[in-house]
Amino acid sequence: MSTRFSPILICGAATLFSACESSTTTGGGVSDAQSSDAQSSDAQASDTQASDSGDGSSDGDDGGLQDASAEDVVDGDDVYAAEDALPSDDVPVVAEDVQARTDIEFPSDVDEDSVTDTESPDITETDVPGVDAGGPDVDFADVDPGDVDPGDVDPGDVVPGDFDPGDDVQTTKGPQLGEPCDLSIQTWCGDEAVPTLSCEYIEAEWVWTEYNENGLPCFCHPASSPGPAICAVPGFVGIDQSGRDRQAPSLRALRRAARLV
Amino acid sequence: MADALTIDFDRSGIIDPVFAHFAIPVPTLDVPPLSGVVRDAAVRIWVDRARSEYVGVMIVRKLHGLLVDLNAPMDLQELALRMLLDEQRHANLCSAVVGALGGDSGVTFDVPELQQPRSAATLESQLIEMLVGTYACGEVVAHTLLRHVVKALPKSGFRLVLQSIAKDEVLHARFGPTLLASIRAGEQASWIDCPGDAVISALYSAQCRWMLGRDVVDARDVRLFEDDEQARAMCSVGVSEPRAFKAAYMAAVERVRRHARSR
Repeated sequence: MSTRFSPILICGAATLFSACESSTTTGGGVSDAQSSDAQSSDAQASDTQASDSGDGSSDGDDGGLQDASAEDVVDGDDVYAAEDALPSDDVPVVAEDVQARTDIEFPSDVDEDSVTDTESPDITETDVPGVDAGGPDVDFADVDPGDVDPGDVDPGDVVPGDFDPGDDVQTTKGPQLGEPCDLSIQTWCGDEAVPTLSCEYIEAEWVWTEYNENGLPCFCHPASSPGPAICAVPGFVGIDQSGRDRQAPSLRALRRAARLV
Repeated sequence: MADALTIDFDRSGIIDPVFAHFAIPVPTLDVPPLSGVVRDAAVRIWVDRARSEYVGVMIVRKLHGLLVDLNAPMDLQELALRMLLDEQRHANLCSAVVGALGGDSGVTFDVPELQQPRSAATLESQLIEMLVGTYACGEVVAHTLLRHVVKALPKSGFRLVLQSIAKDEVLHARFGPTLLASIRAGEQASWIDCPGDAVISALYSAQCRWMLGRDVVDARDVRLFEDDEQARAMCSVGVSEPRAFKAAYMAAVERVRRHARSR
């Protein structure tokens, strides 16, 4: 059975940052970046903010990107700056006094009532890619992801015990065409991160079908070949799965043990 | 063999004036009295945030590497490095909150979350995929959510931490749509070709579809917020009401998807 996290089959935990470097060298400049002094948060100082009702979900129809009105009053105390903003004005300018510090504002040195600039990225209509989705598309507005509890789903559960290497749909072990699936894994990726199957709703049940071009691409988790696609989303977007508690050995402990061998 | 690892988020302890001058500052937070249940939940949620931000570091490493390998214009490379340091700082901030709440410094990751390896696709394709999926969708939604949380929370040092992160997210949310628009307009043809609207549209659709399938909030937190006293306590340490958070998330994703399809 293919595992959900097959990269580890290729690169062991203790070699995460050594033997696996060939797959992670894309960010080789990290150390250098961390010594950069370009830490000012002033980059956002000139963004224009929409008139916003304050619920975080009423920024217009664009995720807040086209906000354009003068000001935004939040909770009665946070006034979102309403400054002129052109794209060219948003280039971060590193103030002379911020080489060593960011503009982080902490209770000790910040007046909370001061103007903040957690504003809209302020994209104009012409700035945003105008694409026509085209083709069939499932309207997921009607889908309540809460109906599926991924916490109860073992990705391995959808992998059949039998595997026919001659299968012309898949070249690697994985779910079979027509088998039941659930929406917790939407695309199955074959060798070299090629999407092979999509989990689609057909005749009142979720089944693995031939890959839908509008389906989840394998770039989301390219090393998982074969394996399920898992898209990476950085930052503040909530958790993948409810009820998941994570425990694992310490990387330092593993490396320490490896050194002692 | 392990498929997950715990990473320590600690400090070196080195006391050096030059180091200190360049170090990312860590906040001092006043933690109100909390019940054990609330404290445990708050720690878990801030650990989740620290994890997400550190995954963001790994993702931007990949972005920067792609830009370098494509010889993208230097301002774009510099913005990527800027965003990388932002993500590192955000992880550091969230980890500091965990410490203030009494949690330990370890954060567990699935190994792929740390590796963020490249695929067999062309460099151009991988970059476009990141611009659409991670930046034009993911970071735009993240920015909206941060604004939602900041607005929903009472004043506190915890909220200030989130405000600080939100400031950076303006750039992060703008990066993808702006660069994509320029690529589509043919302005970046010296180093990358536009793959066509159909490809970009499919990427939008796929990413939004996937994002709509996430749980986003933990069912335990929904239950916890059913108690008014616990809900207030959670808000006091930077955690907003989970159902409203999820609603804001779903609305934000739908907006991104609708926006992409309407043009």
